[in-house]
Amino acid sequence: MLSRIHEVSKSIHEELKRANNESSLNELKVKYLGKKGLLTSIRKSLRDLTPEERPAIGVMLNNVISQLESALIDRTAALDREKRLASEVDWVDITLTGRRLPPGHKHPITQTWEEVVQIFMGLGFDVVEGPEVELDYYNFEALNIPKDHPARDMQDTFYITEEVLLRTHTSPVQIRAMEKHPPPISIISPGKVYRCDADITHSPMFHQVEGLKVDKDISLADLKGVLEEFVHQYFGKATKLRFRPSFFPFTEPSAEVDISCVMCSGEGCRVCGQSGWLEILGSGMVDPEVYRFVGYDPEEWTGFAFGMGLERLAMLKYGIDDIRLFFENDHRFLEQF
Amino acid sequence: MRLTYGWLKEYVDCHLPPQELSQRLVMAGLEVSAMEETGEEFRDIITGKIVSMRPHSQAEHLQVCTVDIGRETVPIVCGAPNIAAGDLIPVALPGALLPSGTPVEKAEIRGELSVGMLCSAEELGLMDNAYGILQLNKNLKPGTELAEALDFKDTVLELNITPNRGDCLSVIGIAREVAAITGGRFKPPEFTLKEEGEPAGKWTSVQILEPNLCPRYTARIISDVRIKASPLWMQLRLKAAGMRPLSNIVDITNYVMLELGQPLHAFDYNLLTENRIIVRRAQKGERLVSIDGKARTLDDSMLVIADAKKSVALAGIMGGQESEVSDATRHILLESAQFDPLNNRKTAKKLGMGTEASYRYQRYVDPRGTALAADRAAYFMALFGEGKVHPGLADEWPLKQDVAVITLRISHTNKTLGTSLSSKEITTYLTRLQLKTSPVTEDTLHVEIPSYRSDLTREIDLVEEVARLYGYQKINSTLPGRTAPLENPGTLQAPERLARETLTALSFTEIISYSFIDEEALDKLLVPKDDARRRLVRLKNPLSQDWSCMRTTMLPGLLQTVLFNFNRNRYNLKLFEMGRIYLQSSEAAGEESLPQEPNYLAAALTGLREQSVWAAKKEEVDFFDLKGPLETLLEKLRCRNVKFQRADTPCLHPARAASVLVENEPVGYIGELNSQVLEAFDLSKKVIVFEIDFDKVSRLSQKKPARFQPLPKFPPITRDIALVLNKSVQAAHVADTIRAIAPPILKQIQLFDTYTGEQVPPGEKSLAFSLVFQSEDRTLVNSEVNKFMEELVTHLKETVGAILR
Repeated sequence: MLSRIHEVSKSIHEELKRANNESSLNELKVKYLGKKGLLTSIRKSLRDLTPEERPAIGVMLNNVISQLESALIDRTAALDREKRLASEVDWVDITLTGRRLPPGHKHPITQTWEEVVQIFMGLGFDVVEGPEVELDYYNFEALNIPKDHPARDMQDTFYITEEVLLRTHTSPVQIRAMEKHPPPISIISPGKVYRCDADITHSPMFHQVEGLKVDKDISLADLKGVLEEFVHQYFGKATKLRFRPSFFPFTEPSAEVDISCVMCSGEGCRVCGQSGWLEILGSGMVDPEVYRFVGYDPEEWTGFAFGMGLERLAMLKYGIDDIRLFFENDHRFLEQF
Repeated sequence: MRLTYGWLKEYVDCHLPPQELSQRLVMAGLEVSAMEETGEEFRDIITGKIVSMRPHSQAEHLQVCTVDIGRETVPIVCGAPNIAAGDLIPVALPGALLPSGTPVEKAEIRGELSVGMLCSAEELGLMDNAYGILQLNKNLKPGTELAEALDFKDTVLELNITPNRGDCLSVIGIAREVAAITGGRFKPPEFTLKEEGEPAGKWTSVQILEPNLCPRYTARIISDVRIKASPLWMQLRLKAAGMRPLSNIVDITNYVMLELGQPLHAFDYNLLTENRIIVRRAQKGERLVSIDGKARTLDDSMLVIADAKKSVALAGIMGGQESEVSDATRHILLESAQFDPLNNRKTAKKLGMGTEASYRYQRYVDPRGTALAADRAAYFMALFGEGKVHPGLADEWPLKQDVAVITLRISHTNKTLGTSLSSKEITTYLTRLQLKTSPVTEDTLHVEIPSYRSDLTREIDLVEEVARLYGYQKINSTLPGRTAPLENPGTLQAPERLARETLTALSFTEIISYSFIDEEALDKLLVPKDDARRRLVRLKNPLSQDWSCMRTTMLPGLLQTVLFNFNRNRYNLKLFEMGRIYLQSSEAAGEESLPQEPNYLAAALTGLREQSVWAAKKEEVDFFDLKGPLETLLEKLRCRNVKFQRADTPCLHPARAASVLVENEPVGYIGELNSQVLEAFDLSKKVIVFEIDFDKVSRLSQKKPARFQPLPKFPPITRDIALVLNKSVQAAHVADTIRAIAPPILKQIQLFDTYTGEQVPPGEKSLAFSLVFQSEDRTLVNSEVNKFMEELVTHLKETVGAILR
């Protein structure tokens, strides 16, 4: 008896799977639950069992019957619903694109600018801007680069008049800020700068961000800490830094900062010229001579300054190999960012 | 600065492989920009011994040599007159490419087989006018690689020396650095100079008329020299350093300059009038033909070396052709001097001359090194020029400087670097740099500065030297505390950021174009002659005419970008640019007045509307497709009272142009470019643009935070009204007219339909407004609204001639 119930239950499962319309469901109902149905006849034969066997097997049989009954109801309802939907709804092709305005794109230099500024603001730097058409005094002299000094060769300059030029770096903003604000001061100045030079790695116009922090007891160790923090936030924690001595007229000691190559992780590749290192910024402790120009007392205050090119950062981050792409504004270029 | 590692090692004990040394130099601030192997250019060139020679059967001037090249003997045809059996000579094998560019092949020369080629010095890229085949040391083994035979297998280091380190523009300068960095022993060149004959003072005299421009001038006399080629090893070192070997005397001056950093010049003694030297300023208009053959016109700011009659050299830049050493020269007057860096630089710039000597003088040449360099060169001239060195120097040294002593504080050093170095450690580093130190107090040292270190003048300069030798890498990073924010920090660029976010959300893409324009662009935009935008900031030295002025409007860059993309089949463009324009303050303002640099925002729209939507009708954009985003933008920026007024803007289509006002102040314009402008910029499609003064807009926008208004508690009543009126009446004017007589309960006036066509008379149009009435304190009743509507109809008929439709 038990094995018969099992068998019937199994075949019910099979047949339910196959029944996908109303008539086959009806047939199923008659076959098992009808007057001469299989389950009905099993129930009749319960009488032949001993009183001890009867309750357990009865429960089992009732379970099979009620499962079948509810399955039949569910399937009928589902079939009904499908039928109704098919007749009432006009199907849409949901793979068509949504009705929308396609997104515009911020220029990659703007994105870099905003990201860099964000990081330094988080480190407590205020944003200050200044003129792009600048006096020789602010661009060079107050930065300890006198007229006819060989250090002027380091930057090819566009002149407007003898005394007016297009700033070659954003450092003059630092001088203007220090003239205006007594120490302590902690600023960054992003902006456009200009040098008379144009090829695959030089653009006559490009963007820089420079930073300056002057306070009590600021040291070269602090400069290292701040730049390390910046590089880790911008390029990722795994990026290594290398500080090496260099020369800038407005800092002493001066340091050039290299990062481990972002393309090859320092293994050596075409981008880093096989050295594993990429130069990304110049920095140093503010030269006491600069303090003299703005009236800060170098015995009381010390500070550091740094500057970097945004194009360089963006080229490294996005893998762009020609600086001119930034200013051609080919839509196919801009829409990638 | 280029030098070979082998040369460097003559002056310092160093056993590091070149690669590692280069790393150490880089980390000490001497940037190694390139490393090359020498001798590569001598690939497939070996030594050979001429075994025998016979005349060529077909050519009179040629000979067929049998040459032992080690592994075999080969026949080589050669026409040079200076060879004989037994000579050891360079042989270029078939397949070699000579440094002069000639490829060598196995060939038949007039019927005689020739397997390779015998080489002259010139063919090897050495002396230019060398005569005949280069003769090598007869003791060399045939079949040896030439580079090896000449001891020319070496590594060239190319260093980028920063402008403050003039002392490193020499091999001994680098050697001193290497000694300091590695701790290896520094070994300055040692030589013994043999002097003979009458003292130099009897032969010549030196007179300095400008001591400020020439603090020291020394002259040595070397008589009876023989002009010939300099020794091969010297030629090879010059070549590796990037200089061209010429003759023994000139090569020696160059060699000693590279070795010691002191520029030298050799005059032909007999060609100096009265055989004496005067250092003076040039006379205005004085002319001098320099060694490069160019006639130079001088002025009185320039320093010259003169003889009794005329100038014979541009001091510290280049010698004169007339007194130049030639094959006929017998006696040499050798100049070793110090000149003022600034004056040298000015003169070199004015004359457009850049020479190795001038480069060094501009970066400071040690006055205490002049005599040594003169001695060294004289020593070589005796050795390789068979000359006689006369005793002593004619030495004028009007401006002698004392040895500088700088006080260095240990505490200040550590404070600046963030280190805790002891006095002893600091002393060690300074001593390695050959600086003499003596302790003064526990915290202070006196440091004596050698005269060649012109870059060390202050305490901070010594702090850097300590840091350099200690190693920047060893300084532990720290994060400083926060500095108090500025009282009035500059912009946080919040409005700029918001504008960019808004426009990109509206599917506009940002461009950045060059700030440079050509004045012609203003003509193309029909900017009137008296317009403020004509006050251009002009570059004195532009890269090209196209980039000769700073922009006074954003349009040229924007329109060029539109064209650039049209040319790449991109026609549906929504572009904007935010950046500064540059307006010259006024003609009258002084030379040093700076232009104004307001921040501007401009946008351009072209092509099809909503082009990405599959179901949309393909329609070209119009005025309102750009006006909408501008309105959204101004609203986002919290500008109140925004108005668009019909206005004449020369570059725009007169019927589809408006000036934009915020709080009744004009801030810019919007409209469709007219056909003349489109044509001038080669644009083939309709372009809608706006340009606004972004700084002004930011200034006029609401700064106060929004004030909460209680939400209405009572229901509104809405009335629609359709009017027929003359086409010329603007919708905004009708709305203003309604607003003028409206009671406070009229909360909103909205235009919801416009119509022109058959349903209305010609020359008229229909405007439909929806008016919403609402009260804060009661439920409105229809009758009061109806009463106003009746009044309104009458009023509109009287004021704008509108009738109900």
